[in-house]
Amino acid sequence: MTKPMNTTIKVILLLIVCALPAAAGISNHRMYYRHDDRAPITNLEIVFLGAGSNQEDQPKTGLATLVSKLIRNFSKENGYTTRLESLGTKLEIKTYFQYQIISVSALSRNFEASMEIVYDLIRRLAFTDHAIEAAKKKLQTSYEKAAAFGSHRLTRSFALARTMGLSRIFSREAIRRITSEDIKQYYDRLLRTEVVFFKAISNLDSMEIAKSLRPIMEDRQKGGFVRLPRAGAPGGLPGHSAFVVERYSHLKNVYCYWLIPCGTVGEDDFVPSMISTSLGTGPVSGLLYSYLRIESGLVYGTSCSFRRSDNLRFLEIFADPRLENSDTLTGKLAEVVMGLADNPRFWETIAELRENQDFANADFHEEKTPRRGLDNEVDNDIYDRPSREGGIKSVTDAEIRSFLEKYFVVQNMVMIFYGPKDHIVETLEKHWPDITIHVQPVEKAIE
Amino acid sequence: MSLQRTPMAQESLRIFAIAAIIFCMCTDTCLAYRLVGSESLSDALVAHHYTINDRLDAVIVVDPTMPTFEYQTFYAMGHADEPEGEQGKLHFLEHIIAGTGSGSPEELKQLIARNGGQSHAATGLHLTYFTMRFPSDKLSLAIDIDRERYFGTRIDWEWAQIEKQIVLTELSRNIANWGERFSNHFWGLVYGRDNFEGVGTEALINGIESGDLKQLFHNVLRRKRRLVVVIGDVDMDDVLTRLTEAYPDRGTREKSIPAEPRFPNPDALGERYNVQYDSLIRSNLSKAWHIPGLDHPDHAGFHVLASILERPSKSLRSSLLDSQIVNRFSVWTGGYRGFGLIACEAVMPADRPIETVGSAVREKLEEIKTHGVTEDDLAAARNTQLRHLFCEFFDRSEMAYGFGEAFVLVGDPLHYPRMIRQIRRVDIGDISRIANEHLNDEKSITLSWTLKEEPWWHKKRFRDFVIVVVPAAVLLLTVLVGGKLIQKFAGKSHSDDETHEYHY
Repeated sequence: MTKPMNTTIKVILLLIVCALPAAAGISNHRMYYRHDDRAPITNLEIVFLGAGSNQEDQPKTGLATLVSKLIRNFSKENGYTTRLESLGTKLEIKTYFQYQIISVSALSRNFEASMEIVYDLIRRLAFTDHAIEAAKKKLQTSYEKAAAFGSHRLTRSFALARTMGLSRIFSREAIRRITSEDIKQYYDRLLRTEVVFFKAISNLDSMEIAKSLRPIMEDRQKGGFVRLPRAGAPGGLPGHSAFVVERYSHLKNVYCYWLIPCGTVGEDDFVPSMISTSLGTGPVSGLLYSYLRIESGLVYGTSCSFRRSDNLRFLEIFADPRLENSDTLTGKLAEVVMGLADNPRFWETIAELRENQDFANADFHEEKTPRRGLDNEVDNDIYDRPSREGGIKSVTDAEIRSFLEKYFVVQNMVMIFYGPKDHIVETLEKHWPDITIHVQPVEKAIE
Repeated sequence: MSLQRTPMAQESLRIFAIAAIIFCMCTDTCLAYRLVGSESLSDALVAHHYTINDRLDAVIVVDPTMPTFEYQTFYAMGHADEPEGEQGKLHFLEHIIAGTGSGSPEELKQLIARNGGQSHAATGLHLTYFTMRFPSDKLSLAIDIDRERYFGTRIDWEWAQIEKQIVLTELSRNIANWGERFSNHFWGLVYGRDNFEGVGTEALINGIESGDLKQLFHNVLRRKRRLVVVIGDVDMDDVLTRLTEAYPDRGTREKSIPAEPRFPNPDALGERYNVQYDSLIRSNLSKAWHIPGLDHPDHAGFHVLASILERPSKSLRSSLLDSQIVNRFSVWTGGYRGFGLIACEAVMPADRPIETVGSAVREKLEEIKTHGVTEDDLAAARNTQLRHLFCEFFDRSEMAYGFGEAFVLVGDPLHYPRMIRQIRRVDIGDISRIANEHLNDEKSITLSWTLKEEPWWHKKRFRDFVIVVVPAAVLLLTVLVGGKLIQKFAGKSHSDDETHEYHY
């Protein structure tokens, strides 16, 4: 007769497995851990790698999100949410492009008890047809509410879908098409995802956390979702187009968003990061702030963010001129953005970024927090980003120039505007007679 | 490196703090700065409150988790403290102080960025604050910038003209923001102002003159109590020494007197204000009750009550959201100068009667007043509040704001971490007691923005009635009367026929 394995030995073995380097991506049941004793709080994420929205078929986008909503509803309707709340624990289920996450934030003294409730929830999950229909309706309503509140995320996703061929992730029609069978199949594969890993930040030690995770590792079968190979970049440039959002004629400002698609997630991020830092990722920094606010008083807020949507990377430039300044702003912003390659101040900023470590770090204080450090470590393992010897110092002017020549061209600008539409259309036609203009309400984004 | 503090170490720290206070009180020879008190936030974090001189206090929290620090400066004056008609000048001055100090805006921006820093400034109801973040080795730079702003801010009129354009842009954003306008209306009622707008009106901004700003800066703002909060990977002695050197004692500051418990506009209490619009997509409702301020022992109980009303399941909020009566619903509690508020806020489709929400709130409060809350409700709310508070310790900026707010409102920055103990002490009887004592209509302000009530003959229901019932009635009448006439004429015609037949 075999003797059952001692719990301590199991935990030790588990930790050895967890500590193995992710040589070939992330190993199953690996735990990424950061100790943080600034507060008696434990934050845990259970990550189902490969079970994200990238597994959805094109006409049925929203399936992963719908399942996350169903899990939330099941938890609420069957008393799990109430039990977790009694402990002060927050449960969230979030869908990303590459993965699905069950996230738990708890007072550390209640962490173990919270995890027992979460496991019970996962074990007992079942979706009736009635629950599925209710969740579909609720998700569609939440899209409608987001559209009614003018969600920029919806419009941006729609604009990128129209111009870059990304999936329409907020479509009511796509939700309607999803069947009970689709959901059951997805959920079955979700639970059996090949690689499930954990991200934990806690004042508890890693052994204690690992002990609480044991039930999910012991019970779990595999054979479900596997991570899809990285997709290539969408072919070609989107064309110069503008989306003017209707029903914002009451605004006294024009909210301008210029999207510049620049390759896919997983490519070397150094060059676009350096450009966005030079232009100004933060609220009070960068060339845009100097040109548009300090020197000309044209805007209150301006920034350049480096973002991703699905598999696509893009830079998003923001400015908020008053109506009477929007024409001047458009001209000035075009001059700055299109003229970067010939702008000595830009190259000075790039040189300073390379030489002055403090300057390079100015916008990245948050990167040093345990949370961001953990996220970055996991991201690097998931996307297997190319590393550079010498880091930022090794980026040459020629690489940056080539990037600007490739992406900072008018055929690669997808613009979104909120404000009085006639005024915006007139300004756009004046500056770019060949631009394709779509005038539409936010609701169009969720059809 | 992480600091693990055992109970014994914490006890030693407390004894040291008490000894230091006694020592300083009993001698005239202590250092220029003086420890006022210390409060443990968690195993790793302890907050120390010092007076640097008669004009300046400091809170220091050593947190070596990241090799950076947060430096925030709070002035105990906000736009709600400005006199009627002057509101907006302080906000404009905040822009000037944050942007220039004694140099040019571009120079200051470059100085901060080249040293790996970030900066930001804002004006609140009762405070104005300036924040900076730097790598650990830039402490002296942060203190220099702060000192330059305090002693050397100059009003460069050419720069101020550009800044006016920026503030006008900020104002135009606010004017078109429905939520912001509603919020300003609400605070106007609380503070008894006709035109509440922290940024100021266009006329005021255009009319600001250099002399106004100098007067406000030198004779008002700089005389207010001030707090510097430093949180991060710093050496406490180093911070204290540098602050003391930067701010030598000048000794004429107004004394720190806690605000008297007083509601700014008692006439608004017990009143309901409704603004009706011809066209509206969403209605807004805010119902707030006057409650004791931040330093009152009952204040923590209201945070717990708000949490009970907002639970994700089986709560007032969840029932209103689940039944789709509202688009959004929240319950918040806040402390202000001399008073506190707890409020329910709803955003809902304009065609729904706002009274539905009012009744739901009233019924829930009556239930709590009469039957109290369950142990489960209390545990959930207390634990949720504790988790929220503890999570703030991961965010230095948020934590610094907590100290700053407590300082300007009650004169004691350590009141902020003490809230943890107060939340823990709230018991089941407190909730129904405070609800009964304070959540009454005569202590409330209700503000709603709704769609104009249509005359009854314009109402959709009436129109539907007219469209459906009237034609049906006309049809029926036609059929009935027509039938009679047909019968009559048919009879006649028949007789005619007969007659005709007769003729034939």
